[in-house]
Amino acid sequence: MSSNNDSHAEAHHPASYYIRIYWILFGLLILSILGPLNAGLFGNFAKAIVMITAYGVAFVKAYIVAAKFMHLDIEKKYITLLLLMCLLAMFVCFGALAPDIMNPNGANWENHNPFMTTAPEMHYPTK
Amino acid sequence: MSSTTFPRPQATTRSVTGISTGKLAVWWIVASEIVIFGGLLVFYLLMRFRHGDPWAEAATHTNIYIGAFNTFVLLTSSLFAVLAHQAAESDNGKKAARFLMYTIGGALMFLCVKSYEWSIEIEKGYVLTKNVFWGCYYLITGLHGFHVIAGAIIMGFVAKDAAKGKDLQRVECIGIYWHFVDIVWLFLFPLFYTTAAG
Repeated sequence: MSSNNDSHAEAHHPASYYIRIYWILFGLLILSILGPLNAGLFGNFAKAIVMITAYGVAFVKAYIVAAKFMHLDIEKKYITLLLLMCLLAMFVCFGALAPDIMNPNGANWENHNPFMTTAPEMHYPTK
Repeated sequence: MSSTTFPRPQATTRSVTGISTGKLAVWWIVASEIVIFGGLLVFYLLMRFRHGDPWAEAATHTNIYIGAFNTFVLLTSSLFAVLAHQAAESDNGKKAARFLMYTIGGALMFLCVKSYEWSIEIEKGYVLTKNVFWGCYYLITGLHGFHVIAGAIIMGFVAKDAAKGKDLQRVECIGIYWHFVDIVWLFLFPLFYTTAAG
């Protein structure tokens, strides 16, 4: 595109390049289905197999899509930093909420099990 | 791109930051979406850790094959989106529009399968208010589905212009958004469909 001044406007890849990446992603998808479904065969390592094939592979697939399809690998570095900053906010959110959610109670509250219903009965401390 | 007789919009021509302003805006949207979906995923994970087995048991009622098929559909539509971008880089608007239409086809297929899946689950009594897992499931997949609908509509407008050779830079912008929607699903798939396995 002649009007495109972007850093990677000249970085043309042939269609075959993207199709090859697509087949890699497809292979990883198969792995992410078969891994958790057959994790029981690995006995004590079942949990590890699920973690690796489901979540680990999800990270790899996401990286490939971001780097190769969104062209983050050749995009300006500050775009990557911008996205990483937002991911960092996600971890901060996790760290900030975890103590309240994981603890069964606090100074003035009890953490009732909300699993069985989305509208648990509320209990307020009496003075 | 030089064939148009209208002045180019600033979002196309200005690139103070090294990339066009329009594309930078899309990156900002993606960044803000990371925070939105990130917050929901954090909530999901915390609940998962808190409620371990009951949560995993609830997740056994989702259909891994339907989830896997939708992952395949979104990955394929992502391929079409990047091929549309590649065609736009070669100034081939008609080809770019064709690939964008294929991408929209993928979006429609995803939504049809999702609707079918939801109808099965609702029929079985797994409704939004069943418990926190299902509330989480409908909220997050529903929000994701809304993004799919929005992306498909915008892509329709971009494809219409691209077919005339107009504003081909938008093909890359909508592509970036679409790949992000795909990435979100890549994480939703293990969270909702393979959690209980193993």
